[in-house]
Amino acid sequence: MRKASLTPILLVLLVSLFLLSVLSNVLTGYPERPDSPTPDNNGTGGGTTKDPAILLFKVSPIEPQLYARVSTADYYTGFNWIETTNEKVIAEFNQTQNVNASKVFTVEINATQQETVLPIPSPYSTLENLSLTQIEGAELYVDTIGDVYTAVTNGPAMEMQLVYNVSWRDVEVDDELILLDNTPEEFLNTYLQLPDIPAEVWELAEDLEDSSYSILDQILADIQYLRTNLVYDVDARARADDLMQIPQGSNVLFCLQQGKGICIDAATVLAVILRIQNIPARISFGYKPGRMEGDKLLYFSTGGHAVTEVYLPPYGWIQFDATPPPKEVPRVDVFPFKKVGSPGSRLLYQLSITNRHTSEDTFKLSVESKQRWNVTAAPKKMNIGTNQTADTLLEVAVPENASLGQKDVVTLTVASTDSPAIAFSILAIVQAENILQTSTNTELGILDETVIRGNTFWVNGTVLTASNEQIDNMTVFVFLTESRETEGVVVGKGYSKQGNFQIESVVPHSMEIGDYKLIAISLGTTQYAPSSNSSTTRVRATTRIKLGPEERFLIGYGAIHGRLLWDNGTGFAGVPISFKITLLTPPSETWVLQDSTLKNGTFRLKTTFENPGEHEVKIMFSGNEYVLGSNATSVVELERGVPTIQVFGEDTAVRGEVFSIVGAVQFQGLGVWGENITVVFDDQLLATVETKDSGSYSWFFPVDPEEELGIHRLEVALEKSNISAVHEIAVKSETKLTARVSNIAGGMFLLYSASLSDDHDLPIEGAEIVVDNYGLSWKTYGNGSLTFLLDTIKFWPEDLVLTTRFEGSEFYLPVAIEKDVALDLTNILQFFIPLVSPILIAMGFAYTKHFARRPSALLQTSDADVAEEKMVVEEETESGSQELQPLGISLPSIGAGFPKVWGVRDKLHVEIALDESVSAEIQKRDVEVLIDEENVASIRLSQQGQAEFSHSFIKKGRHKIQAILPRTTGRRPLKAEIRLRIVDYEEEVIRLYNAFVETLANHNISAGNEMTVREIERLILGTGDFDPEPLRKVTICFEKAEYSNHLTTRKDYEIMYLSLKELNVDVE
Amino acid sequence: MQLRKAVENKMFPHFLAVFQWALLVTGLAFNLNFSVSVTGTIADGGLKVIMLFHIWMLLLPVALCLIFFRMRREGIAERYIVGLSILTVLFSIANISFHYVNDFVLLMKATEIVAWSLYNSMFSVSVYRISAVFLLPALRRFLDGKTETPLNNERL
Repeated sequence: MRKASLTPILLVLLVSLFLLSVLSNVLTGYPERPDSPTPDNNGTGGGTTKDPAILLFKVSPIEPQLYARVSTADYYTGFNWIETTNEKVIAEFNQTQNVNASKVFTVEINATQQETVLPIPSPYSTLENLSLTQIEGAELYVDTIGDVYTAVTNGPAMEMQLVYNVSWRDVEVDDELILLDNTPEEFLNTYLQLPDIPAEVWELAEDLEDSSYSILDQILADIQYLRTNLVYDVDARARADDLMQIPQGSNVLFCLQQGKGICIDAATVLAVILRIQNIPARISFGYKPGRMEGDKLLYFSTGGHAVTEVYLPPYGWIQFDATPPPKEVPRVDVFPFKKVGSPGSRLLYQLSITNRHTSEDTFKLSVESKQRWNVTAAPKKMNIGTNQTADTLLEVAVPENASLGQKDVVTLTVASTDSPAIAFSILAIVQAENILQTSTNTELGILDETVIRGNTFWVNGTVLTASNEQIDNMTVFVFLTESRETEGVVVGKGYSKQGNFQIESVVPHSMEIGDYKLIAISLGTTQYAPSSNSSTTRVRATTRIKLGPEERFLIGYGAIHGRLLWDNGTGFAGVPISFKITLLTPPSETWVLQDSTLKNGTFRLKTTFENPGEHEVKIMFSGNEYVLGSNATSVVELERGVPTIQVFGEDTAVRGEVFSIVGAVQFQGLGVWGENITVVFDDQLLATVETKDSGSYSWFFPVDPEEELGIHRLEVALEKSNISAVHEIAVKSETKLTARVSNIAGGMFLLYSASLSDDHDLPIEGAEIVVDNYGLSWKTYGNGSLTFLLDTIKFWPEDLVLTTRFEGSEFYLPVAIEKDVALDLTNILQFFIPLVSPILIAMGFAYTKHFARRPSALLQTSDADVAEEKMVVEEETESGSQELQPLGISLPSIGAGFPKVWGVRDKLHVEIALDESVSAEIQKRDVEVLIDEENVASIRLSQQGQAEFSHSFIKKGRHKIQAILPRTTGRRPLKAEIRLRIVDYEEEVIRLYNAFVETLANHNISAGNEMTVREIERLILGTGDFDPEPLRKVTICFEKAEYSNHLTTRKDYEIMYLSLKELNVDVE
Repeated sequence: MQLRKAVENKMFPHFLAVFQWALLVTGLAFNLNFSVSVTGTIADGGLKVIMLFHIWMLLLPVALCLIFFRMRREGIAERYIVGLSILTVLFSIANISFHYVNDFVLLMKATEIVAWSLYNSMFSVSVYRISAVFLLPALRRFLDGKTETPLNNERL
């Protein structure tokens, strides 16, 4: 018992500990998850664009901003470039190497840079003030031909904190001096190396090759082609899966087919094309400059770049960048790339500009000549729609004094006027040569004096030489220009056929109307000189009238209205015009609107027609010399009547804010236009407004901040008809609701106060404030505030958001606020502890009461080392009322010395006895008899204080008989209790025998399962420890119970029990 | 039949106690609470608020007290519940009374906590009674196993 009583206490403690831990988790929230540490990537190896920007090196001065080269690659595998270093030799550094340096750059390697190759601003650079002693462990390489250096350190440069100077020469390549012939064949084999190149690439390179070009021209023409036909697109590279793995790789055919790529793709395509064209080329990798910092230019790992280097002796390796432009810049084609003309001649290039941007844009053309020759682009400005192409001309005048063979590179830049970032530059090359060109004459045929915008017209003419020879295939452009050719628009282009041309031309809708000069320009060829001729023409535009939908009119009100539109659908504006409205039905009337300048083409004509009924009306716009007239007819119905006036708007106006009203004057659903409406607010005229198209009108006015609160009157009136409408407006004040929360009594209560004030910060008294979470509402006091003492337990365990509302009143607007209230530990504990502790106590109580004996009973079983379960007999030998109690129960049927065991369904005699000493306290002598807590009978005690009854138990198992006798009030009732076990005697005898056999193990008698009962008996007798007489009785009893058909009675049980006792066997 | 009768006669009040308790706790969990601010009584400038919770803690113990008083002789649990409910009612009355008096916030809260504890104890006694009647016999049978017949008479 003592052992057992500790267990419930421990259990209760454990449960409370568990609950506390759960509670503390709830209170504190779950432990914060630590942020996963981000790996500190210093970008070892660097170079790919995915890495974060790492500062690699700094270069000063900042101008010019050069690409800094770190390495070159010469061997192309078809997918990527490989550096074969055997072409390089260690350079013997010579400090006096550079005499023609244009600039000296200082390069500072950043400590984090891990490249082993030193960057050199290039092109055309050499190193100076750099010696092997300065770069410890570094080796300096120089290309076998040319003097481009590559400095390689033997370890990461970061450890060296290098600062070195680089001298840079700005070399101007004169292509007349370029001489590839003396280049060693071994060298050419390296730099003309090609893998298995697809035939398409090969064909392209051969198409681009022009024998009339110099090497430099050829390179520029190739670059021009790539820059025109490719766009910069990182995604395109990502789509070429095989390239993802190779940062320095490029697939030439993929790039050309897609028309997309990045710097390395363009550089590779250029190098491959040049190698096909027998020009030695390789790839150089390096960095583009990033941002500036003071007087230094910073180069970052994200600025990785690649360019093509072409070997042009005697200059050495010259860099060319063919990186394509972004996809939104316009595509500009120039044709031809190169033209040759004699000094004093005029050369014309055709240009076509395609707007690749997603919106229409105006592009401006600027031209720059390297030799400062006279170059012009015509027109200089053009408006091009999305994915539309426009033509233009580029004119170069070769000066008279130009020396033969002299070359000019013309750079044409096409830039958007809206976004300067959208710009694209292209080159055209012109060379002065002694060429004999036949002069030509361009003659125009008979032309229309006027052309209508948007309509097609034909321009005819002839292109002949001075000796009237017919010229074939001469390109002819037709220009329309106001004064100078450069500001015109190309309206058509075509070719001459046997000296005649007939060009289909269209004047775009965007062109202004007016008088223009029409020019036909023959562009000329190498054989024929260009020529032009002009004529005048007038550009006119059509108009149309679109009438409003109304077909009925109220006489005296309203008007016919509509829009006069240009040919392109925009409204006619700004031009003085005259309108004429004619009533076609009798009596015919005409009404003219003169010199009205229209706004966005809208016109409105107030008629003076007075005859009701259906009329046909013709509206005529006569037009003028540039604008074609137009007209429209409509059938209208004229009616007499009085319109109605309506006013709409909010019912509530807020003091100090703008209040707007809208309304309409209508007649049978038709709006009455152009009538004056007066707006009166509280007998004060606010404004006079005019009705709009649909008869609607609107007006807004600020409500005076000092305006009296309450209902006000707003009246709108149409004075002409003496009609009016009244709208009642409630002028209200803004309300401000503030809330404050504080803790009371150690956080057990919340003190929640809300206060309400109007727009002048005056407190509002008696306004009902609602606290939604609690369903509370109360009226504010004189100071406009209200405070509640709130209990937050019901919101456990979450943080609370208190919503407070004022629902508004006659004078005040509604308002609501939310206030956050943090979780308070006190509130939770004062709710939770009373909730949990009684449950724990009850659990402990229940455990103590009902399970206290279980462990000790089980302990006995384990002591006896019996694996099988064993019947637990408890309290059977004890008397249920062994204490000296005034009330007792006895069972006379069960003889003395026997346990409280009785047969099932056998009648059991029960006696209840009361001690006479307490009989005085007894009022009623009725004893309540409870069997198994169930009230079964109420028996009256005899005079001697005795009562008896019989009971048959129909269920086996433990049972309890209780007797309760109430005493006088204020005293506890008398109680007696007896417990007994109800058994089947047959089973009980067998059980006792089994228990007996199990105890034999203590006497070192092993009775096997296969032995019969008689064999067991003989075995026991053999030991001599047991008396044979009771042993025989035990055997017979068991045999009777187990094997015979005789009923096993209480007698058999008693024999069995007594015999076992005689044998000193404790069977309980 | 006897069991059903017993349940109806003797266990019903216990079930009632448990169910109404569960209803209140569920109600609290789902914020089903109606509040009445008490006119005129103020603590630290705030209006005292009586909630459904307080009224429940007063009225239900009164009802349970009346029910259990009739069957107080049934057993110790019933008598305990009668006693606890009387105490709960007293503390609830004190608690509600404090709502109608200015100040005394701590006392008001203390009576509320005591009443709440007692109220929960009433419920737990009922739970104990229900467990003792229904759960423990079943538990005992489960733990003891079937011992009415010999386990190993096959061997004899």
